[in-house]
Amino acid sequence: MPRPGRAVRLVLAFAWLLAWSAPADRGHVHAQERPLPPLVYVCPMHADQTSDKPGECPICNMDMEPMRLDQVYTCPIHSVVSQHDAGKCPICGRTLGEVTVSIAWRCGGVDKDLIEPQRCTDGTPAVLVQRSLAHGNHNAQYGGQFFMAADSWHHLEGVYPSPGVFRLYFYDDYTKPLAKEKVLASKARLVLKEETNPQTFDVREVSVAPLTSVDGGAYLEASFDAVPLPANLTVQVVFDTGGKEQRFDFTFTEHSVANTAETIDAATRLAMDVPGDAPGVLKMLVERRDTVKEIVDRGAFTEVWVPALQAKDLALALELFARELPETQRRGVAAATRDVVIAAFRLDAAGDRGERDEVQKGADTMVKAVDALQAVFGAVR
Amino acid sequence: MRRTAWPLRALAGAALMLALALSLSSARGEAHKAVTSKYHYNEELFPLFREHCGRCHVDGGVAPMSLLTYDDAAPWGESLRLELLSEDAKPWHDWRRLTPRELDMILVWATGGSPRGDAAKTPPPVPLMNEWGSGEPDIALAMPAPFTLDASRNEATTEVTFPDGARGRTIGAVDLKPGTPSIVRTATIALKTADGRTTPLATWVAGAAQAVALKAPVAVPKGATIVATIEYRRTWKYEGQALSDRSTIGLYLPKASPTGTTPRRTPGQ
Repeated sequence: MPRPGRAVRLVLAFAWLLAWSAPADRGHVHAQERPLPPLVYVCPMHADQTSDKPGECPICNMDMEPMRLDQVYTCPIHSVVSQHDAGKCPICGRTLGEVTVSIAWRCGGVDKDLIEPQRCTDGTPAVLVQRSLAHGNHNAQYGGQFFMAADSWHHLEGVYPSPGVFRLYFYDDYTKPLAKEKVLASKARLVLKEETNPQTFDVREVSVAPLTSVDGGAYLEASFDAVPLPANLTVQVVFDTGGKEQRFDFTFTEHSVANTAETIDAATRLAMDVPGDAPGVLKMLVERRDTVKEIVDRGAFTEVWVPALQAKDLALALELFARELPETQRRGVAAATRDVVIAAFRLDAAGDRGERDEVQKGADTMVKAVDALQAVFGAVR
Repeated sequence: MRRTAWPLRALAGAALMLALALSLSSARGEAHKAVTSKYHYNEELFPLFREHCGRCHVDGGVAPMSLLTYDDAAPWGESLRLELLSEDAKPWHDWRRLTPRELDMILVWATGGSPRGDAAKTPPPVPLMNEWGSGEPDIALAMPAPFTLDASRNEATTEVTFPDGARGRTIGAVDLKPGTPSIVRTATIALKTADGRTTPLATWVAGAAQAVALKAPVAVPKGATIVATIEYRRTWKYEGQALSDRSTIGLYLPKASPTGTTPRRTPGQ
């Protein structure tokens, strides 16, 4: 399921909050009527240093420079297509994917970005320039599952298009296909079955299929005896840059179909109305817990961030109602709430990386903690 | 701020959170963290860091970096996130002292661009606190001679026998005031009797806010001495420097034991 990266989701949520705090029309608006995205200030030398206010870079004291980030929908094939509403590509009919871009305006012959639309010295309007961002597009390009590697630069997509066929595509941080020589320099295998020694917990690979290059390194492919759905397929990769082998756990509940999955509006998915009473908050929290369990059981790790982060906020809201409880119960509520917070952030990170064991551990922690909260507040009710 | 010896995972995580890259020109195009945190350093994070971390994470403190200025703290946001989410947090970090909301504030700030907040609310500089946490002790025993952590070593442990001064007295609580706080990590304080037997009294850990109350008062017999095993460790901030320390042990008599002290890492616990 394509969805924006974790940090992209955060910036979208931030932009969403700003947008909704303004007395603006909340319905669909045309591009020219949309309010400008908020300014973000970035150090020209240290791009990791940002602020929502002007100021100096804490590292080099240079003035931070303003820029604007926007969320658009674009075609995976025809990048010229860019619009603010989800839909189909007018050229090829593919479903548009949600990406984050930087926007600026330029006047002809002037090598400088403008942060808002204005007229140039010759009277013509400055031209909107839209540029890609790293991690701005975490959409699967072939209908598979999209993960980010631990180095935050390599990305990969596993595709299970038909029984007995698995394909692995490599991307960089801009979701551009990796150069073929880099694909060829990577080593990967598909693990179909593993066994765990109950005494030592050592894992042994029982069934493995080699992933070999196709079309000179366009992607890697493995052929194997068909695995029934839902199919748990694990990829072990050493990227072209070397280093440790990395594991990615894919679970396919259905065969991959290129470019058919719907895009997700991250901010909308995180938004929720929190009730003003403990039973109401508890009910929502239990629902999120069950959703986390269901998603993890289904293996759709990249979706778990939504109920996980929502559960975290609900648990924090619920803790406010613990003030009237006896001291021992308050301490228990605090410990369980702390566990929910930790589990939510772990689920968010591990889900992004497709780390099955970490996702499962995070889910187990969250379930246990919410159960503890339910035991307290369910009894109070 | 210089950052060395970051674990690979921390670097990878940092890169992850530098999530949106710029491509305004060919000279840019690096990842950066978007500001999404509703919590800001000046308003929310500084008071929290000062309360929970400020005894060590202060300029001149035993921790490798200060968290008490924005410029010092902000580059460590991702490292903080990894430490908070780690299952094997460093033993001197007891995150359970944080309330769930405080924990969430740090995580949201660390993952959400670590914004500074209102410059007008920039907190004043915080000096290193190196005072007796429970007031002046009844008996203060300074190390007989300084210990030098020479430039070639990053850590060392030394056994110190303190001068007489407590014999015939009964002790209710124990504390230590580092001579050079930036290198004194822990101290196991014990009673050594004339026959050579050693009875641990308490373990002092850098950052302790109060004297360590003993589970029961301990009489110091004739011929006994107070000894301590002091662990020194240098952070990268002081690489290549020889540093000397002459710490002082503080002993509190039971009647004068500070109220409100809680038993902490005392023998038998």
